Amino acid sequence: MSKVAGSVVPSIALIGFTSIIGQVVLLRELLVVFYGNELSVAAMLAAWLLWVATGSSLFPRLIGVLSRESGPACGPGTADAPNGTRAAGHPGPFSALQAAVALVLPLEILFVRNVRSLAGALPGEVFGFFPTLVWSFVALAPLCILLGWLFTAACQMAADRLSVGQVYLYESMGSVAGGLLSSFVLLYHFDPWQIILGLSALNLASAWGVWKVARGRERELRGSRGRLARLWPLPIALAAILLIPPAAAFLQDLSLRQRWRGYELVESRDSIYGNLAVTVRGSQHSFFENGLLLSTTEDFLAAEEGAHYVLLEHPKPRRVLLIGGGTSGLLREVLKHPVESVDYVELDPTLIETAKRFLPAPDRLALRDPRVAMHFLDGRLYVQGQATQNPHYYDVALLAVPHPFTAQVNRLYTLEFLQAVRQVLQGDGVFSMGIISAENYPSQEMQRLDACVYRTVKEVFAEVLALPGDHALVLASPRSGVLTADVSTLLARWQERRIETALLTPSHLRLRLSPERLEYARRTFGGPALLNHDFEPIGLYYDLVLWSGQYSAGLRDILRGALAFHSVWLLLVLATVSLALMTGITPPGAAVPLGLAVLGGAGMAWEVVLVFAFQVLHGYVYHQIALVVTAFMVGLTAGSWWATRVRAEEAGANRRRLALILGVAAAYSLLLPPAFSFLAAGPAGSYGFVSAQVVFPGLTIIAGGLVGAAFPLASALYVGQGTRASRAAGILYAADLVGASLGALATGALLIPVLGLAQTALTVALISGFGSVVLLTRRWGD
Amino acid sequence: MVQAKVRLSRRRFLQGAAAFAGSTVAGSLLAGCGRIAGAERLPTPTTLGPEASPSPTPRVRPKEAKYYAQLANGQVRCLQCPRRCQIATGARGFCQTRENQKGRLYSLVYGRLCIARPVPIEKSAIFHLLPGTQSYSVATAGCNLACMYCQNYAVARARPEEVEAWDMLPEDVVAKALQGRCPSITLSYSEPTIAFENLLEVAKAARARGLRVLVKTGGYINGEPLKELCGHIDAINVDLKGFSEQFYQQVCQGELRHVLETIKAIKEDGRPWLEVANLVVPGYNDNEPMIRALCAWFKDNLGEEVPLFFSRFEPAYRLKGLPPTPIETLEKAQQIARAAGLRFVYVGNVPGHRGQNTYCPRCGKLLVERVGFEVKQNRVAGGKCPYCGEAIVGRWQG
Repeated sequence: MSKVAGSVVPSIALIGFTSIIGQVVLLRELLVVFYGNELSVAAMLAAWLLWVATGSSLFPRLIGVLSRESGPACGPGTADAPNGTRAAGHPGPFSALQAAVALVLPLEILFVRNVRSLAGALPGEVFGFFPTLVWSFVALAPLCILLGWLFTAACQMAADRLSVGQVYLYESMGSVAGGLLSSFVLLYHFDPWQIILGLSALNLASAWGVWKVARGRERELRGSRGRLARLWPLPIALAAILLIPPAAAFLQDLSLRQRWRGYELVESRDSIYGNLAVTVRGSQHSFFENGLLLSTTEDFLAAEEGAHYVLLEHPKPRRVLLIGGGTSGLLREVLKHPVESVDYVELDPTLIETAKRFLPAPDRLALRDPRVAMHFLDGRLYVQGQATQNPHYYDVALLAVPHPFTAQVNRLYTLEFLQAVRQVLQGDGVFSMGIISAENYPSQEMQRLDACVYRTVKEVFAEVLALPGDHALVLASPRSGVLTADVSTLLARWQERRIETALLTPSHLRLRLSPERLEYARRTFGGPALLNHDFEPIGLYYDLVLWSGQYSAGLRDILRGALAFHSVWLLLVLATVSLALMTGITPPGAAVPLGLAVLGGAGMAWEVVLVFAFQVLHGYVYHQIALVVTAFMVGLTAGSWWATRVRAEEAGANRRRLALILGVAAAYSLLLPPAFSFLAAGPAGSYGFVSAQVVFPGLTIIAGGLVGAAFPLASALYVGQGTRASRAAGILYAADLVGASLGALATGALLIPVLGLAQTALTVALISGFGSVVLLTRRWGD
Repeated sequence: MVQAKVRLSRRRFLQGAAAFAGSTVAGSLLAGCGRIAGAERLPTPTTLGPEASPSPTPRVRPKEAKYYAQLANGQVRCLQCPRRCQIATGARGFCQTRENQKGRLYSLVYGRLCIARPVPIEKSAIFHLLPGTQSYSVATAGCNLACMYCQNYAVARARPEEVEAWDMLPEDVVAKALQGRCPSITLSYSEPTIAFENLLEVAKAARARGLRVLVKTGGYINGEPLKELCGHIDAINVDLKGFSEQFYQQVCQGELRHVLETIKAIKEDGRPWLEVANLVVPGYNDNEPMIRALCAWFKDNLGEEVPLFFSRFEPAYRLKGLPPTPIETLEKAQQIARAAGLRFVYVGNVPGHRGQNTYCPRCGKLLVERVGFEVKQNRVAGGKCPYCGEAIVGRWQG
């Protein structure tokens, strides 16, 4: 690599670095604005990837057409010939684009935090899917188009020194660095504005640097030198250090007020898990997690009903397990019973730390009660640990978590988790979980979700009692004959324990256990539904349908139909597409971008599947998941490095290699489900460490490697056919991203919830396999 | 780029065909592990609810609407509510329950009930009528408002064919109420007045058998049908959702003035017992000036005796991100209304709160003690306070 080539490498790496950090920060910001279920998150990610794809392929061409400028038609490593108005490798466009990125970054945050006002949302209004989709696309367009375009511009700028594959490699390296830095340093120590302004400063510095170096080159050619100019990073760094903290503070204050218009915001904090906000009205404080209402102080009835029904079901509750619910008053109510110990499990310590300052005295005292032991970790992880180390310990277990709107929450609604809960309960123990329902009329969507929860609980516990309502409760016991619907028994226990309540009265209990209500419970919970499993998380799907029905009957009906989705249809589509490609109805060159798109999609699917399986098997442990995600990018980098090395001059060899990669991808995909089953079936904890620290990162590196290796091979193949380097870069980069975008949408939102993990992997294997066959049979340019 | 000629060589065709055949075989293998939704199973019959299973295809025929006008080209104008929808042939009005079938307007929800069950009368927020009794409560699909916080959106915001409904003719409803020993029937949850034909027939049948008829409504109804309605029912609770046109427009897609006209008309009519509820949504209609204005209007137009509820909002439907109303806010509203001279002001939707009790407006003694959904004691005797003899308005006896 020449000295001049080396000088632009950091600037190219900065594209990946900026992309990954920008993505992390902006998706977190979007989550606070929109409703963050899997479908919405997939839509945001899809928007991101599609815009980058557009930026890399469409825009450079558009501008090229407009300015009648044609770049160099050269392959990798070939010296460029001036062809048109500007010399090839001119850094002007790159520099300008990078400067534009620097400017747009902070505007993005401002925009996202203003989206609610712009979209005309009322305070407290929760967005539906279509506004989420539309506004995510609108919000992410400027930055992502610039980032995609920047990649093409980088290929063009460095066309005489670096191949497209090498540019891709350096960009990936930047992503790895950015991923590591954001996961392990930035999100711990800095708020979004500080991160974004810092990123802006870096991009600005790079833009200036690239431009300066270019000018320097021209001067060198003319024989003059500008040594002083080489000190350019110093003033920029100084300015950044001095200006960023106050600017960030100012912008944070300004933009938060916009996001929380209509509320009186008293606190907003970003932890590694997301955003926590506290609002106040009178003496009532409300806690929001990623923009969603978590709990409200003084919501007495909810806390009282949540705690007392289940505790009264147990004749002598001494040892209690509480998962979630520390800010909702549940803990306070639990402690009114003569309990000896309460293990309270909460994922995010920041939540309690923050809440402590705003909770009313009784709740603060409850948190400090000597009987309470706090455990800050994933609820599922805690229960699984207790199930092996401390089985049959608790008298009562309460699960107070949101409805299964994300894969992370759904893990607490599955059969396998409930089995672990049964394991930690005494034989005559009582378990309760809350679930959204309807007091008066359950829609079909609601019935499905409620029935899914109820049936899954019933599958594990000997006895189940469901109390309907807008906040329904499902009570269960490992042994039958423990639960009672006899009001007088429960009221006697209530009196005996001298429990004082603010709003809950015996009449509530009588009504909830009245024959009419129990009959109604059958209507709500007794319907047909599939069981919710770890690797077949149908609860996610039912929740998605329920949510969509509140906004659009059309979307709801489409999603309902998705349950009938059959792999056969997919196969028919695949067969047709392959037929078209093989028989030459489509241009032969289409096979290469298509193959790349397939791998892009597969890569996304694997990443989603691996993170999902990791959470199921090893719990939601922030830094480990960050490691798995980073491992993917490490694999990506290693794969593209390998491919830039082995790339052959002969097109046929490259094509066969690409086909081979797709074939390996298919095999890899087929291998994943048995691998997960093996890890899940193993005696608990026996190879937990190896699985979490070696197997998962290893599997993820392979996934990244397969995706990363494809790009340089495809670009060599493409450029070898005489396509201009920058154009090839644009098209291939776009194909990769469009595939990834579709992969993200399909996998997270539909394939996993509807088909489950095994069939998702099978689907990916099928698509990859077909891609491989097409590439093998379709001889192009050999 | 090399542009290949579109030519289907024999070899390629065979390749394609082989791929196609292979995929079909693989597909049938996969079909075995495909997940298919369980067959729809119907809910078990309820004892006091509707009989057996919901009937997806109604046997009950749509009933011709009472209030509409025929226009040119087969169009009709619905005259049931202030929206006065102009409806083309085959189309429906805003409420989705009234359809133009060949130039005639039909109600699609006549005799099609999706909720039917006994409920404590206190849950319907009617306090001065038969306290402590059960009321047989029924609902049909649809509503002519579109409140973003609707607790019953699954019924109210749905088209009639989207809900699970039972064929239950008015006489069936009455029979069920009698069987459950409910002295009254309440039409509630969604908007009973857009199911006007159903409402009227249920009311007539119920009163013929000595049952009282209660209606809980958003008050979005035209004067003429309202007049007819008042002759057939015993009590009505109107939801006055907020005392500002802006609130109605933004949150409910309606107009305040029509609701105020309805409330005044009921008061002037004098036949049904009237109570009014105001759901207090924090940040929207909870500010003191608005509450004061509401109370002033209330006193001027309805007098001091009509009971008024300030009800608690709970996050629901599309306003899930808004915290519930602080109880403090409701208590304050209650104080304001009492200070404005209103004699019966309640805190609604907070069962267990003492703001649900009835106190004598003169001597301040506790008259009706409501604990949760039960009436602990009712001291009103002969429509009077037993302590000071003050007349306590209401329909206290069955």
